Amino acid sequence: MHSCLYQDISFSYRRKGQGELAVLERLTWHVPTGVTALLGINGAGKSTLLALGATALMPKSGKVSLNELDSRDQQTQFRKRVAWMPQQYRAVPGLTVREQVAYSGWLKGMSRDDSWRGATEALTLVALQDLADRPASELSGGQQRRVGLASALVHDAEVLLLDEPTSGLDPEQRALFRELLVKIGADRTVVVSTHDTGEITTAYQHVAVLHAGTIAFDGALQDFSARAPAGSERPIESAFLSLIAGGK
Amino acid sequence: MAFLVGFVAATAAWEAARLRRGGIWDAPHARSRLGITIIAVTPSILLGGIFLLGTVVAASVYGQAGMPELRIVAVGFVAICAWSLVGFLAGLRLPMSVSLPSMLLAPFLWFAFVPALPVEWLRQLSGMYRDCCRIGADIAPAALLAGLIMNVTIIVVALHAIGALHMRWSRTASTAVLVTGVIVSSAFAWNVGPIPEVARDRSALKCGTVGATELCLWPEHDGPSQVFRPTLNTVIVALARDGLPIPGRWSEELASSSSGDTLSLDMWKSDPDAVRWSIAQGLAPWPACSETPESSFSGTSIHVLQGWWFTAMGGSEAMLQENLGWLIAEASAFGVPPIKELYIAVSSASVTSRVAWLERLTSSAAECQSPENYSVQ
Repeated sequence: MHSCLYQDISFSYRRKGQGELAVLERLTWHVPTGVTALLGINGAGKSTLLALGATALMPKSGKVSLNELDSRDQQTQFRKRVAWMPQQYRAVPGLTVREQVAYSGWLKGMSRDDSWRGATEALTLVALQDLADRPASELSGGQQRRVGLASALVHDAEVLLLDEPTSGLDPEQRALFRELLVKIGADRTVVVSTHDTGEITTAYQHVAVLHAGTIAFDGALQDFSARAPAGSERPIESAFLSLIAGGK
Repeated sequence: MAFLVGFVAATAAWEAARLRRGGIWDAPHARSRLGITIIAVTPSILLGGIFLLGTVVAASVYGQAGMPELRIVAVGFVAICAWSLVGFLAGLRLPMSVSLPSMLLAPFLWFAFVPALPVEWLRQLSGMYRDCCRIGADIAPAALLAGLIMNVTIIVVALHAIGALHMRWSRTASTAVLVTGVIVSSAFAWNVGPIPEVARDRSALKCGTVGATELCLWPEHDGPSQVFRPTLNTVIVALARDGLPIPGRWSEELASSSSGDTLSLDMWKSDPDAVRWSIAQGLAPWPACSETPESSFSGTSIHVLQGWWFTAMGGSEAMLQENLGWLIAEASAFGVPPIKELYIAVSSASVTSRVAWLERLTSSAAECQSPENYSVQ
């Protein structure tokens, strides 16, 4: 069991000439083990929340912790145990797919040998082993996102924060991704952000809704579906819409 | 060095641009930025180091001056490290279309242009030591320290600007390091002068006697395959046999550290004729007014004397032509009789007349006076 906790988090962006734009306000969220869909409308702050969890950003107040490891005070150890796939994945020019993934492993503190081994395993998981020796920058957008996913998986982190990982993937790749979620979510904490409720299937055990700077819902997928009006054809979408409409 | 360091800085800038474009630099990693930076610039530094080592080996094997001064090479390597970090910083902060050309140009200006500036102390800060060192000199320790401190300062400030160093009072500390580094480095360079050298320890000189003359050479010029000592032996014997007044001690130590009856030898080319020409230059006087631009003394008599000594030592026609062709061709324009005829006349005169001629021309030149005539009595 991994205990990932956002505690009393506030965060705002400083905009030139416009003062501060508050994104998260006193948000507390205990992220459950398993696969969680983080839902929210565009601009709700999903990417910010995941970036805070990955320590790519630091909160204005509050703290993020993992099994008592503080993201600020024990940053190196914390980062070794958390993986983050940002929304915009970019490959390092000139590196092959395998080198790219292995380099990500090395950056997460793995030894050279371990990162090479880890890269091979991660590429097999995302079904990119046949493209391992191709330059990463020559792959399609969808394939590059899978390289990004492999880069997040390479160091076998306890917590995976995936920011819109399925955008740009074709239906076949999305199905593959769902299978992968089931596999990797068995013993890890995985948070997948999306604004597309159609993406949420039984591969997800939990749903969290980020709205108005805080977690408006946090619970099991079935409980979230149950909030939909009776007879809804798309219960997740209906539940989401009714939740954010109620919050307004 | 200017080209090598530019190349190193440009490759480091290119590597940094790759990391920036790949989103590596701003992502949250477990590795420190210092670790990532070191790994990223290591290939550039190795490349520079290999070229530098190659240059040292080539100079040792094929050069005339023997093994290059290793302390200068060490400062050069520190400069390579410093500029690889500057290049890396530029690659992180600037578009590649700007960082690459600027990193090729900036080291060139720093290593080629700054050491040629008239401000003498400024020349020594880069660690280029363009004018160092003649065989009788060592690098001045103050210049060495100035270059070393400046390059270490560049390393610290660049690492901080990259974000690889966490210093307390970050920006203030970095500025303080920069200012202190420049001041300390400049303080060391302040009194070095235009040429960053000090006289070499004369105990390394290998001395021997040729007749009544003591001859001292540096070990690098005294190997069994070197032409210097045999040529000098022949010359000393020939001049003494002709009864010409020559100094009692001939030495390669710097003129500033020799005294009295010593001829200071400044030989750089392993060729008997070049050795003879160096001796001729040393035997002719070189008065202070020769270096004064406003002096009315033309110095022609000095060149006449140099040519004569060279001829007296059995120097070749070709070398004489190479060095004094302008005087031979238009002797009358300089108020000098035809040179070759003059030399024949002096050489065929009695020893007493020849010595008197030499002393007359030498003493007038030493007083910055042109002789009334060049005839041998």
